[in-house]
Formats: sequence, C-alpha cells, structure tokens
Amino acid sequence: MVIPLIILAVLSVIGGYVGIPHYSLIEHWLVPVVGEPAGEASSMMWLLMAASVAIGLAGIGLGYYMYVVKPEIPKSIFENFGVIYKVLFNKYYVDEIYDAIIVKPIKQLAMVCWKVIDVIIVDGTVLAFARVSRFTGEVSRLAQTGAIQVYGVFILLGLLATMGYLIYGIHH
Amino acid sequence: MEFITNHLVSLVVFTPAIFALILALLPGDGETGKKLLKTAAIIFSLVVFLLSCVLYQTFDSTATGFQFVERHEWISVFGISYYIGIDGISLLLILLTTFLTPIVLLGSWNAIEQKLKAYLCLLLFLETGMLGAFVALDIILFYGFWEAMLIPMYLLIGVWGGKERIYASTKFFLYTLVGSLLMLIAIFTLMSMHKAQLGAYSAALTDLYKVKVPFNGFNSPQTWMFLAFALAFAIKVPLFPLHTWLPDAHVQAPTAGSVILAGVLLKLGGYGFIRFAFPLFPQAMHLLAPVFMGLSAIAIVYGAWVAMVQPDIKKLVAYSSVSHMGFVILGLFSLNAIAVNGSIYQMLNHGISTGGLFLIVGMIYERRHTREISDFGGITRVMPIFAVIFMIVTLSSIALPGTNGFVGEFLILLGAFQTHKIITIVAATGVIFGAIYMLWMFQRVMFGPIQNNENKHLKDLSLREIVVMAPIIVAIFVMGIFPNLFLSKMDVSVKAFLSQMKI
Amino acid sequence: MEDQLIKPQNLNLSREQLAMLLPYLLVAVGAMVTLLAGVTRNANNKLAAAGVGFLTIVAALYSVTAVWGEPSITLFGGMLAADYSSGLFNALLLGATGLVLLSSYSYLEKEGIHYAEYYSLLLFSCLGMMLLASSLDLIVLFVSLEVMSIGVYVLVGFRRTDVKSNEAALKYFILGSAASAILLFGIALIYGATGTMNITELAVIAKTNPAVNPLMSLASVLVLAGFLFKVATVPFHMWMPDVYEGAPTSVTNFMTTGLKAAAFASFMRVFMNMGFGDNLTSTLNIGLHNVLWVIALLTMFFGNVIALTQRNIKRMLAYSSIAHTGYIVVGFISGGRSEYGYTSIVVYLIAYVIMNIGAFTIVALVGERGDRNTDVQDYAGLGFRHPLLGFGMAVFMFSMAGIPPTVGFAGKYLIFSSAVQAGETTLAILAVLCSAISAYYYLRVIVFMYMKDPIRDSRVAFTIPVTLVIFAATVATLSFGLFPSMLIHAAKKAASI
Repeated sequence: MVIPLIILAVLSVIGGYVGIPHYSLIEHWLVPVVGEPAGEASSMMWLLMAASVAIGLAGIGLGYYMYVVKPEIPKSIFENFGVIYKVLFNKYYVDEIYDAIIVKPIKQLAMVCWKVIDVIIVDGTVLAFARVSRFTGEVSRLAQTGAIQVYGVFILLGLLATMGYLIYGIHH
Repeated sequence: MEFITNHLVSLVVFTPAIFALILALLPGDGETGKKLLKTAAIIFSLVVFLLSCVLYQTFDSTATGFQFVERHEWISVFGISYYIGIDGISLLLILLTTFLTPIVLLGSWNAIEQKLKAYLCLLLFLETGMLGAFVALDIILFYGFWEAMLIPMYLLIGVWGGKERIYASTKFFLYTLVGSLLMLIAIFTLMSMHKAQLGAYSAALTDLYKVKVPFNGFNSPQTWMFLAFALAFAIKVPLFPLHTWLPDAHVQAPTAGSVILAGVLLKLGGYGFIRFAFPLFPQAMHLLAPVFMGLSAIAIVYGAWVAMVQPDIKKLVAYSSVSHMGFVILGLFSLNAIAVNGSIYQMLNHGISTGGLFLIVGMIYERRHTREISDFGGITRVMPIFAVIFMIVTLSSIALPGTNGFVGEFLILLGAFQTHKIITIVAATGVIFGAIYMLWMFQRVMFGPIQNNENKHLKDLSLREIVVMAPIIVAIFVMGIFPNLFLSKMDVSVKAFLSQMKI
Repeated sequence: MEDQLIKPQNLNLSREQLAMLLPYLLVAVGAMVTLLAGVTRNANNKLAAAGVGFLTIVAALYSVTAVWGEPSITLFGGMLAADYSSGLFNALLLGATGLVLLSSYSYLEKEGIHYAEYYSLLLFSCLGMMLLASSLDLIVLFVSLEVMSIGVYVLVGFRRTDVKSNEAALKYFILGSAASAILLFGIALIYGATGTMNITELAVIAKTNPAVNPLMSLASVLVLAGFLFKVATVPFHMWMPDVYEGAPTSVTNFMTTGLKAAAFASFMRVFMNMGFGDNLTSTLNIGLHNVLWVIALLTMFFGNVIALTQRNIKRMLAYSSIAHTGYIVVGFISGGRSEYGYTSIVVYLIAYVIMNIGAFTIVALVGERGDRNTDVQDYAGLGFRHPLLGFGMAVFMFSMAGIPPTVGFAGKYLIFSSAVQAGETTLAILAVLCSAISAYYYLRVIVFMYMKDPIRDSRVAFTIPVTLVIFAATVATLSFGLFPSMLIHAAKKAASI
C-alpha cells in the first residue's frame, strides 16, 4: 500500500498546484471554450489556502511525532481509550457503513436495472415487435390451406366487401 | 495537384473503397498472401489517414461555412446532387475515423484467419461509408451512406462475430433500419415542403435549412419530423431506451467491429443531431430539449449502473458506451457553446478511449478466450506493460484530469449546468459511478493474487500490440493536455451552429 | 362512332403504324416459327427453338428501339396505343422474356423437361403481355390478357409428370378463369353503362360526368378485381404462392416479372386515363382511393409477415412479390396527386423486374433436379463458395429490401416520396414499417449464404447464358441504383398521358 500512497501524494501536490491562481501553467487550458476566469483571486482565497496548508502540515507533524519520535504514545492511547482507538484505527468504520448503506443497495438496484428493466422490459418490448410480426405471419398463413375452395371464398369475400363499400358504403 | 486540392474530400472518402477493390484483386492464398493482404490494407488505410491530415492542415479554422465544397449534379429531377464539404466538426470526426481504421487493421492481425480478404475489404468499404456520411451535405447522399454502411458492419458482425453473431447482427441491422426508414419519410416530407415553399426540389442541406416547417407545439409537423430524425439518431447513439441492440452487437462483434462501432458509428448519431435534426427543426428541438436531457441523464446513470454489475468485460464496456454517449446528448441538448464543444470533444474521446478498451479486451480475449471478469485476477503480475496501458485507458475512460476524457465531461457538465441544474447534477453522479465500475473491473481483472492457473503464463504484449496501443495512449494525453489543438478547429463551426439554433 | 367500326379500310396501315406494329408482328411470327421447331422430331429442335426465340426477341427489341421516341399514334382505329409508354413496356417485357429465355435453357435440361414448345409458349405469352400493356380498348385488353394467361397456364404445368406442377397449373387455371370472367363481366357492364369500350372515350365520359352511376361503380369494382387478381393483392393473392412454388422455376421467373409488369402496365393505363387518381373530389375516386388504401396496406402487411415464416425460397419470394405489389399499389394511390405518382409505378416495376429476374435465375441455378435444393438452408455457405454468385444474390436481396445504392431503393424512394407528396404520410409510414419487416427475411438469405457453414457439398454448374443473365441483372441493379436519372426520365415520359 505504500507505493500507491506515494503516487497519490505526489499527484495531490501537483493537483493542488494546478489550482493556485496566476501561478498555474494550465490556468488558460480551456480558455477558448470556457472564457477567461471571472474575478480576481481575493485575499480570502489566499487565507483559506494558507489555512489548509497549515492544517495539513500540522497533521503531518503530529503523525511524525506520534509514530516516529515517540512511538509509545499510540500504545498508551490504545490502553487508555480502547474503543476510540479501535474506531479510529478502522477509519470510523466508514468503509463498512458505506458498504451497507450505499454500495450494496446500489449494486442490488443495478442488478434490477439490468435483469429486469434492460433485459425484460426494454429489450423485451423490442423483441415483442419481432415476435408479434412472426406470430401474425404464422397465424395468417393458416388461411393458405392449399384448397382452392378456400381461395375462392376469399376472393368472393374481397369482391363483396369492395362492391358493398363502393355501392353502399360511400353514400353514408 | 490542382485536381487533388479540388477534390481532397472526395479523395479521402473514396480512396478506401478504391483500395478495397484493389485489395479484392490481389492474390491472398497461403501465409505470405495473407501477410501481403494485411500489410497492404494497413498501408492503404495509412494513406487515407495521411490524406486526412492534409485536410486538417489545409483546413481554415477561422472561416465560417463549409470548406472543400464540391457539388455535381446527380439526380437532378429531385434536386439531389453530389454535394460534399466539411466544417470543423466533421473534420475532427473524419480524423477520428481515419485514425482508428489503421489501428484496428493492425489490431486484428492475428484475430482473423477465415475469409481474410473479404474482412479487410469490408472494413475499408465501411470506412468509405462512414466518411461519406460525415461529409455529405445533401440529405439523400447522407442517407445513402448512412444506410449503405450498415451492410459492411452487418457482415462484419455476422460473419466474424461470436457465438450469437447472427442474432446480434440482424438485431443491429433491423433496429437501425426502422429508425432510418422513419427518418426517410421525414426527409420526404421536408423535401416536398421545400418544393411547395420554394418552388423546386432540393435535397441540399443549405437549401433545406431555409424551409419553414410548420410548428405549433407538440402535435405539429415540425415536432413529428424532429422526432423521426431523433429516433434514427438516438438509436445510433444509442440513447436510453433505444440502446439494447448495442450490448449484443458489441459483445458479438470481432474486436475491429466493436472498435469501429463504438469509435465511429455511434458518433454518427451525435453528428446527425448537430448537422440535421437540430438546424432543420430548431423550434421542435427547443421544445423537446428537456425530455432528451432527461433521457440522457437517465442513460448516463443507468448505463453506469448496468455496467457495474456486468460479469463480461466487453459487455461492461458496451454499457459504459451508453453512459458516455449520454453525456454527448446531454451536452448537445443544453445548447450552449461550452456544452456543445464538450459534446463534440466527448465524441472524439469516447472514440479513442472506448476504442482502446475494446482493443484491450480483444488482446486479453485472444490470450484466454474468455471475457468473464471472474476468470481473471492478478494479471498485472504477468503482464506489466499491458497493465500500464490498460490503466491509462481506464483512467481516460473515467475522465481523470490530464486525460482526454476529463476535458469533454467537464465542459459538458459545466455547460449543461447553466441550462438545467437538476438534470446536470444527476448526470454528474454518473461520473462517480463511471469511476466505480471501471476501477472495480480493473481491480478484479488486474490486481489481487492469480487464482486461475491458466493466467500464470500469459504473455505480455507483443511489439505489434504495443504499436497498436501507442497511438491511442498518445492521443489520450495529447487531447487531455492540449485540447486547443482540436477545440480551436471547431470553435467557429460550433458558433455558427449555435447561431442557427436561435429561434 | 362510325370510324370506330372495324372495316377493311380502317385496317390499312401507314408506314409509321407498321413500324410501330413491327415488334408485335415479329414476336407473333417468331412464336409460330418456334412452334414448327417442335413439330420436327429432331434432337436439336430445342436448340433451334431457343435460338429462333432469342433472335426473335432481339429483333423485336431492335424494332422497338427503332421507333423509340416517335410521336404517339394509335393503331387499329384507336384500339392499340403506340406511344412512349407502350415502347418502354415493350422493351421491358421483351427484355424480361429474353433474359428468362436465356436462363431457361440449362434449367430445363437439368430438370429433364426440355421441349421446343416451351419457347413458343413463352413468345405467345410475351405477345399477350405486350398487347396488354398497350391496349386502349377493353376487348383488346381482355383478349391479350387471355393470350398471355393461357400460355402461362400451360407453362406452369410444364413439368407434366410432377403432381405439384399440375396442381399449380390447375389452380391457376381455375382461379384465373374466374378472375377473367369477373373482368369480362365488368367490361360488359361498362359497355352497358356507357356504350363504348374505348378507354380514351370512357375517360372523357368519366371526367365530364363525375356523378356516381351505380352501374359504373359496380363495373369499376369488377374490372379492378380482375386486375388485382392478376397482380395478386390481398385478398386475391392466395393462388400465387402455390403457383409460384409448383411451377418450374424459370416459369416462376417469367410470371413474377413479365406477367406482373404487363398486368400493372395495363392497369395503370386504364387507371390513369380514367383519372381515378387525379383528385379526391368525385365520390367514385374517393371510394376507389379508400379501397386501394386498405388493399395496399393489407397486401404489404400480409405479404411480408407470411414471408417471414417461409423456408422455401421460391415461396418466400412469392410472398415477397405480393408485398412488392402492395408498394406498387401505393403508387396508384398517390397517382395523379403528386408529380411523380405514376412515374414511381413505372420505376418500381422496372426495378422489380430487374431484381426478381436476377434472384429467380439464381434460385433456378442453385436448385437441383425436381426443384430440390430450394430451401433457405440449401444456401448455407454459398456466398463464400461462389463469391460472384453470392454477391449477386446479396445485391438482389438488399435491393428488394430497399437498401441504397440499389435500384430497389430508387423504386422505394419514388413510391414513398410520391405518397408523402400526395398527403398519404400515414400510408407511407405504414409502408416503410412493412418494408422494415421484409428486411428480416431478405437478410436471412444473406445469413445463410455468408454466416452459416454448408450442410452438404453441392456445386453449382454455371453456363454462359445464365452467368450473363445474373451479371446483367447485378450490373443493372447497381448502376440504376447509383444513377437512376435516366430511368426516372423515361418513366416520367411513359407515365404521362
């Protein structure tokens, strides 16, 4: 886990640098599309940047002090505040909580999206058109019995319907 | 020389077809014959790429209107002409097409053994079809290319595809055909309106833009005609809920087919919206924009979710296409400069990164003959070069800053937010889910211990495969770091497009 | 009235009239000479008959082109038209007959039913078709229809020892005679109502007197039904699949192309002259419009959906042919109400003839003795085994499905765009949806040819004439698809009165 963390650390330094107003090389990266950034960097922005860097440095300092300079401190904390240590050690159980209330439900929902909505409803509708066409074909070919009398009846019916319509139908 | 400069676009479009005919005449028997065919096809497609680079170089990015215009009488009774030309938008899509074709030809060097000659010819014919659709300024000419290109793609999937290839290819063909046929009826309506209003038949796009299509709300000719066009293009994109042909087609297609399908064919849907559906029916477009934006937001999230639970890598990538192309539609329908630029950029990105992903899936499939995610694990240990390349493409697909994907999605979301906030927020969650399914897949395939013994002796990428992937990696970074190389080319065209869309 | 009576002095022909009449005379003489070849019990009489038959057609075609574009006249006191339309259809019908004749020779040899009379019947039928397409008098129309049909009745039953072929011939004969009787009854009623049988005179009466005459309505229905039977629209179509399947393939080829084109040409001439499609103001026109609307829709729909379920390729093409008839009827509906309404019919007919001749010639070629090997499965792997044959069949199938750049697309383009222009958008939408259904079964042929492995090894024996026919049809399908202007111009001229 150390190497990925190092990579991420380096990247985050670069990522932070990218956002510093006026000193960033890529400030004008998307200018033709987005336009020049509106407004000047205010003193508030600089203050916030300084504060966050300070907090970060303080954290690094504390970690260095606790684990490198005086490694007995974590041990005494563990002995004195067991529960809190455990919670902290497991990162407040954030991963587990996430897993239970977000990851699992979404995965289940996604399964429903795929198996029910996608395959049965959406694709099923598409295939239904194909099946209905085919089914109509299968049914209507039953009239095609090969018996010439049946054919004659159809011709007669067609003729009568047309005549009936043309002589009586259009006057009403 | 004069001839070449005057007919440059025609040359780019038809050279692949001519080369395909030459290829068909070459002898192709035996090992050496096959090698000759493959080499010839790659060289041919590189020639086409170089021609399109000349196009890029000589293209004037400050001029408005279409460039390299060529117009000849064709079917004069209906005002149909051979009328082609390009603007900044089509220029970039042409480049994408000619860029991907040599890559897929090289990529399928070992994959295709049977009926090689027909395969190579069809790919080149397909290239002509796609390029033709991007340059056509005559609506019937466009329709001709649009339909004709179905045939090679259909055969590519159907002949060289996987187990369910016949089902998938037929579905692809029929699905697309239904949409296009309804569009054809709308085209006829438009042309007869042109005849009624302006007194002559014309299929030229520049003439058809002048037609005033009656519009008064939902139930009016313009809305219906827009919907007919939108149906054809939305199927191609594909937009939820018209996407179900895509997973089947993608999974069954041979690698080259998938790459071209995802890389270029889907773009034709987006391009169709920009070039045809929007400017021809602007009021209907404004009326229906919220609906389409909503559908695209659904497509983004839905595609990502369904991708998340896919057991098959290729199907996962296919559904990711639904999600990514949703961004394109979202950006287009938000109709402001930033989002539209982003959409076009996203089309290019998706072509590069999803094309790359399909190539990667193809490479791993050639080694293991499976695409189930659960069959893999720990591949990084045996294939380090592959792992690096796969990682880069994955990161590009999830739009990490510095890669091409970021530029497109960022611009789209930035632009769309100005038009419709809630839909954009929903769509933005798609970015997160996109990262989840890609990284999760990557983790399961590449990291962890090797559980399957067959995976222990996989060979890393060969030189050929590295050469195949190298242009894609380069493109990912170049497009991510220097987007202005491309954005500047289409800026004027996008502005012209937007001014067309003002009611 | 006086000069309409057939008197000897009216039968005097001028030079122009004789030139116009020459194609018919040539075919009639050729048919009789060919018949003589059958009388000689010489072993080579078939070759002689085929040769004479083919030369007759070439000569007749030449005589058609010799008077191409001459000013229109009428022959026999206005009974027969000699105009651009008759010239175009004569060329089309002669061309179709010629190609069928070329492709028949080896087929008949293979089937063992080769008799010299075949060619004579073919030519007689062709004569009937040509007369039918140019007749301006209802009696001439009826007689030529019979000349055409009787020849085909015999040809359908040409495989004498085969039960299916006999059944087909008998069915066709019985139903065809019934339809002829209906047509004749209609003609009689028209005569009763108007006192004339000349179409141009009838047209004048119909246009000057648009009030509905019940007798005229009834007569129109009967004549309409007679035509609709010959072109096979729903519900008058049911004889057709059985006949197409039972007839020797070369005869099916002849029926599906020549016979249908001639019947449609005549139908169009009557319909157009009477001004039925010109407007929707008279009650009769509205009524006919509505009837044809329903018939067109039913024909397209049922033709296509039943074709979906067929496995025998001859039967499938028969149903597909019914569906194509439906598209052509759409052309009648848009008719005079759009600029290219009637033109679209002519273009579609030409397209239809070209692609069907190609497809049926291939079916005849691939089929084995006794018309076996005509299932779709039998086409498995054909595309790669015989690349050019496969390519041709694929082109025909895509053309029938209406995919550009083929002549089938050009035909559909005209039909559907005219329908839209005539305000029949709903029908056009339904028609394209039917056409989308049809793509499935055309694709299935492609699927078998290119995407499946052959189930058994069967070789196709090519002969030069058959190869020529397939080649010509393929080239025509593609070149008229890419450059249809000439076709449209000619059709436009033929479709104007």
